[in-house]
Amino acid sequence: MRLGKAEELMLRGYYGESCKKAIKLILTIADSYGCGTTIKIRSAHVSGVSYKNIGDPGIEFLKDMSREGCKVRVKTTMNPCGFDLDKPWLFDVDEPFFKKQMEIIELLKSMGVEPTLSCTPYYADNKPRKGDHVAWAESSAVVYVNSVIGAYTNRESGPSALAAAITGRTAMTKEHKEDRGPEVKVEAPLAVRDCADWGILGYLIGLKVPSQVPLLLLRKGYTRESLKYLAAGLGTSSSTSMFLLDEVGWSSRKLEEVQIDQPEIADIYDRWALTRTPSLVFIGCPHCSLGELRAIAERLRGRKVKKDVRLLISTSRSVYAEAARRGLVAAIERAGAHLVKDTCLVVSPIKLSKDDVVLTDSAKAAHYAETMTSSNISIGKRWRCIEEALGS
Amino acid sequence: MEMHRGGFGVVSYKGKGVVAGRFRGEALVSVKPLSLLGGVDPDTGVVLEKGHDLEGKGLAGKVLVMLQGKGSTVGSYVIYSLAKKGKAPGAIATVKMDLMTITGCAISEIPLVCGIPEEALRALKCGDIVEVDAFQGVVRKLSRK
Repeated sequence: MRLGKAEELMLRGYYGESCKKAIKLILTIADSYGCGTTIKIRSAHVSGVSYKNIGDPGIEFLKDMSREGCKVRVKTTMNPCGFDLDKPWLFDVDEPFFKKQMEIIELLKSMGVEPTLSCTPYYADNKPRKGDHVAWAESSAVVYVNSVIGAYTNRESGPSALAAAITGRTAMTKEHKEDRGPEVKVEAPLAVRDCADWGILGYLIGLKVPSQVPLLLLRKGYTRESLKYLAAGLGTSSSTSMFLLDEVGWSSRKLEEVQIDQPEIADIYDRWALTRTPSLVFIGCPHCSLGELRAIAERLRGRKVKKDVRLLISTSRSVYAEAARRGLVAAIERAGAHLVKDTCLVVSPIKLSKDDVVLTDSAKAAHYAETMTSSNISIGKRWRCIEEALGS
Repeated sequence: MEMHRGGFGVVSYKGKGVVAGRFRGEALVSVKPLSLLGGVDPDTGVVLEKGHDLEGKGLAGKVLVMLQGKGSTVGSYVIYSLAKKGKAPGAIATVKMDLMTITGCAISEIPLVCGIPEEALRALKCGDIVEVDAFQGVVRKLSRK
């Protein structure tokens, strides 16, 4: 592999042991994809922040990387952690978990990673522009920035995004090439409206097309929000890093075709059907945008959440601050719902037993919660979820 | 087992050595993409994903031969955690490249061969003794179950 001057110095340990480890990882990845070269990045977003997911070995890894004052070279943001830093009690956090979680955040901060703690940093904290080369982890955000924003990123892993941030470059794979095109055509001209439908559609596409880049032939009328949910579903069931929409004449290409029909969406609702009154209703996977919070606040006006139901709505710290300025936080909490930030159901240590019935509008949250907790998980459309939580 | 090594009749599958090393052990073969986060218990290495063809099986000390990883980008940390607890596979071989598996193996020093032909997933059976030789980028079937 031909190395640039900076890469060679990093490899020789000129910038310290951590940077050497980081460049080695990036070069291993570059080499395995046969691209043999790296590309400079403008920003990074690291996943693997929750103590629940990375555990003590993860802390050891981060300690190793942050030794000798190693710093990131580009703007870098953090994925959600195990609890809302201002309301940890909502997530059954005990003292050891609290301490370990704060240690992870401090280690990342010491390297210069911003504690944004969100899976949707593209709303406010870290906004790639069209054509930017970046190194992002968090599957839903990867698919979103590639497909909706038009930036270029690999489907970075937590550690590789951190290594890219430290070295300022990542492996130049086909994801970073301008001519990245579709590999399979997916026809899904369905009447999908609710964000839950969009998440399920993405999840179904990923099940049928586990690694190729799909060209989606959709019925018009989607928004950036719909595509956010589609990206999250797709990122859960597949290893793809993007989808393409039929906007630049791709559809004339001859490609293998896959079809998704309305009954398949209904099958997913059946598989995750609500059997009893939910004890926890969760909204905000991925984190809600300001527009979504406005609509939810409107829906909650004059209503009250039932006594034995918890309604959790999650968003990012930045969007929360903006929502607070506009009175939306107060409006949502007045109804007895919890608007939380920094975390989500899946990465928090929230205790759910066999008797708990969880209802969510996110296929991604349902998929992970099903294997990571022992409770009953169900999926419902957004307003159904909220209605189930409300008494009067 | 020893006598078959390099001799006639040893079936081998060529791929690309990604993380150096060599390991021999019992194969766990999966035709389905595996989600490491959520799909595998990070403390025991047992596959939890419902409906997965390896559901209920333990990865510790095995040779994991699979299509590819999928899902969460945190998967690499799960491999690293398993390795630190002695519950990780001894080696991994995949048909397709995926960054989660590559990173996980690289930071955990688990030998990894990627890009083996898909027919290997049909020809190899769980319990076969196989060798992953990431120096040469080859997976060898040494003996049948």
